[in-house]
Amino acid sequence: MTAVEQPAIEQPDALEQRRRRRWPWLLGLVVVAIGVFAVLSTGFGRDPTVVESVLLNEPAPPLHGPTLDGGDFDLAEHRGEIVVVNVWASWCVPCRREYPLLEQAAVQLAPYDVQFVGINTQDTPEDAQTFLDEMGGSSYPSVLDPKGRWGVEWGTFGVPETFVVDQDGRLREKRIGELTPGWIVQAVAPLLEGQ
Amino acid sequence: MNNLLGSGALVAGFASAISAAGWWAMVARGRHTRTPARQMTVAMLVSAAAACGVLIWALVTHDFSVRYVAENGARAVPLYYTVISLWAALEGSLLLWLLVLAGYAVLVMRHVHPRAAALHPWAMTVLCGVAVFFFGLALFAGNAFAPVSPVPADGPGPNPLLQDHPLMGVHPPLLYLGYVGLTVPFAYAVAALITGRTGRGWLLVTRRWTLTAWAFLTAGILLGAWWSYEVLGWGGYWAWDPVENASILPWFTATALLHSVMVQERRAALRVWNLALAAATFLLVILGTFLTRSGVVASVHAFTQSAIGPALLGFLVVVFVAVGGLFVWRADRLGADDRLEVGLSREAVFLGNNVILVGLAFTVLIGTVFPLLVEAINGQRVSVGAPYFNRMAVPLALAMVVLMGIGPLVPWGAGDPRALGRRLAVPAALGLATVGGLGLAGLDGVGPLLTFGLGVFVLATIAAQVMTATRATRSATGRGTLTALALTVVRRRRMYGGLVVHAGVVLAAIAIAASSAYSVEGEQTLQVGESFTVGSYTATLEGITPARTDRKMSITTQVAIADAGRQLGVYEPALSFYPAAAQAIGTPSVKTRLFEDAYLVLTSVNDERTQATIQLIVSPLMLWLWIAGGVMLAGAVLAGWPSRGRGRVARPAARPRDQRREAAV
Repeated sequence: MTAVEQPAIEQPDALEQRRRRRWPWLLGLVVVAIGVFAVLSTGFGRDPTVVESVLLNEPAPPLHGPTLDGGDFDLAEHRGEIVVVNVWASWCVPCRREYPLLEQAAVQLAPYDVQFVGINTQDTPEDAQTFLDEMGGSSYPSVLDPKGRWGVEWGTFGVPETFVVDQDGRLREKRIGELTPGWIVQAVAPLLEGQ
Repeated sequence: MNNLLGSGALVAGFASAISAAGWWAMVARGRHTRTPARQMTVAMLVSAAAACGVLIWALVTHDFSVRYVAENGARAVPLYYTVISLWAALEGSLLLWLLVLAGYAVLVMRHVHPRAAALHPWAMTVLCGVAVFFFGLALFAGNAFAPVSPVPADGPGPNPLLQDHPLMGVHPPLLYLGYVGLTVPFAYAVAALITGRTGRGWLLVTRRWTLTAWAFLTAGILLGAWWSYEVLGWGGYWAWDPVENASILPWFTATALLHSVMVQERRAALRVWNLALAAATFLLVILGTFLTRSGVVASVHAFTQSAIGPALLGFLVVVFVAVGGLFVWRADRLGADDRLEVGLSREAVFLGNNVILVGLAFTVLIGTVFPLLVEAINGQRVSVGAPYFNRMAVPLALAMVVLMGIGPLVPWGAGDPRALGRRLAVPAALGLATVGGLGLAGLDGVGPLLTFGLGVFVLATIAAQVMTATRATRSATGRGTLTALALTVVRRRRMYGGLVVHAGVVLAAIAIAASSAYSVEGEQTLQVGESFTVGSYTATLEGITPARTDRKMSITTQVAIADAGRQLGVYEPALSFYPAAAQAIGTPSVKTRLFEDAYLVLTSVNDERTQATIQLIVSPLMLWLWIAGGVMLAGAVLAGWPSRGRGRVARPAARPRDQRREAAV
């Protein structure tokens, strides 16, 4: 029993022959590696916050009902305008963070025919009002949705979510999760052409 | 402050990993002493531990100037979940990965096997080289410590699913211990290829490492299944999700490796095969990490996209080409294998086992990457569902169960079919009787009945082996039955540990077959006070309680369960709404009994909170799946636990035949 095994070393001729046989193998290896790379890199560049919705480019779901400020809202009455719909709740931390972006965009887009509306989902009017008071008030209405009915209708996954509806009442953009600065303006701008 | 400390630890780790890899390579080429290499390796571990420590400290002290804390911390999250947020997202889990990898490197460094001393520095070079990559990844592609300005006042908290169950503190680290541990056999396989010493040396060193990693991986996978069952609320435990597949792929090849090394330990056969299995296992680990960390496949576990995905893919391709190149370069030194007995022999059974396990790995791999393949070819997005995996994997798994019954009874070399037939007769009869009895009792379905029959068959062969050996020991030593049993098992722990693992796998197969074939479920909308029945179980809605906290809004229902009129207690399935979360998160409630589980899910509650839709799933033998996991782990520990006075009395129970073979080497 030998303590350490010795590598087997072959005769020079056989060695040379084997070495020449290496190249096809190496070539095959590289080809396979390129194939693996090509297939696995397919998914890069996809933004997971952009979600394909079956509702996209279809007529937007209805949205109507009493609003937090005591008024009434009906999406159908806003045909001809661009409508930015934001689903939010007072208990949602990202909603708190993105709220200033919404207000800012509402001010920026004020010269154009853009209507902002909130869907206050799974919430109580008292909590929602406290939230808005803390944020310094709201310049646009929010439809009350304590039972999450409109959330289901609009196919939301969670809060916050933001939708853009065009002048013809079609759903054009959808974003899941917190807004980033500039998202709203970028989503709305192409629809404003000619104005 | 924490930004600097954390980034500093990563820089130190990156630098020490580079120098450690360099020093070890010089040691390997006989140009240097080991001391600096060892110091650098320890420095690598200290850096990784420091990086983890700083991040945990930043999480606990709510230092939102640290990017990872700003993205995954929140003041309202309890301390325990704050600490385990270390692995709630990509960048933090990379630090855990580094800690485990550096830990393994130091442990491997401390033990130099006399039969593989020449391989040791090369293996260390590989381990440190892998660490260089992961430190670089943590530092350049996803630095958790990047400063955030302005500093937010609070964060969103970790993924709600991860805040929902204490198991999240255990499942990821166990999985990482398994995953990363498989780097060790890979490192030694590469060392064997580089040095050309592809004989038994590397197997003797890595045997226990592979087994350890395998045991952690098994525990991690089963805990993941348990978590899925207890938390996700869909009544199942395995969905062929890409992340689950990513964890099972290296499990298949590692299991194959654990078996095929036994062939090479006895004779010069399957050398290339074993090296390839070790390499493939590591490649599958990296592939799995890539698939789940890069966002290229949709999964509940998938993290968002970042530079880490492309970096991991690059690493995967580089390792693939490098290892493949090593095989080609060393083809002249791999030597010719002995011919294997193709007839009825242990070798042949192991070969069959390997073909099946690799087949399973291949099948699952194809199913997992198929959507990417289709997208690469024609741009369409498809998904491969459970039916594909079940149809492909179940027959292979059943064939493996058959081999588990036969394999341990077949001798090495040439076996005598008639002797084997005699030993298999009683277990086979028991298996057939089981199928017949259960069939007559009214159970239907070919798959599950076959599984039960084969399960009983395998358990009977195991029992017969243990009994025969115990009887022999008893008559040889004159001790009592229990003492004789203990003596028998202790003398050949590796073999009996393996048999215990087999028993665990069979129990798991039976539990999986029973719970997937015979579970019954019903769903009904109930007013408070109403009830409905599924099987022999009755669920009564007793109350609906909404609650609201800073972190979430939840609705809990009180549901009383009774089996055939006997009250079993009140259970509380709930629904929670977290901010920024995908849908409402259901928290199921399970009454676990010895032979079946009653699984309650709250599907929805009406607006007035007066009625709730409750789903009740009655799944047989679920508890046995978790018991099976325990049995498998017990078997692995039995087989792999270091002998007392290791090195002094290395293998007290080697049989004469083995000694003869060893003398001939």
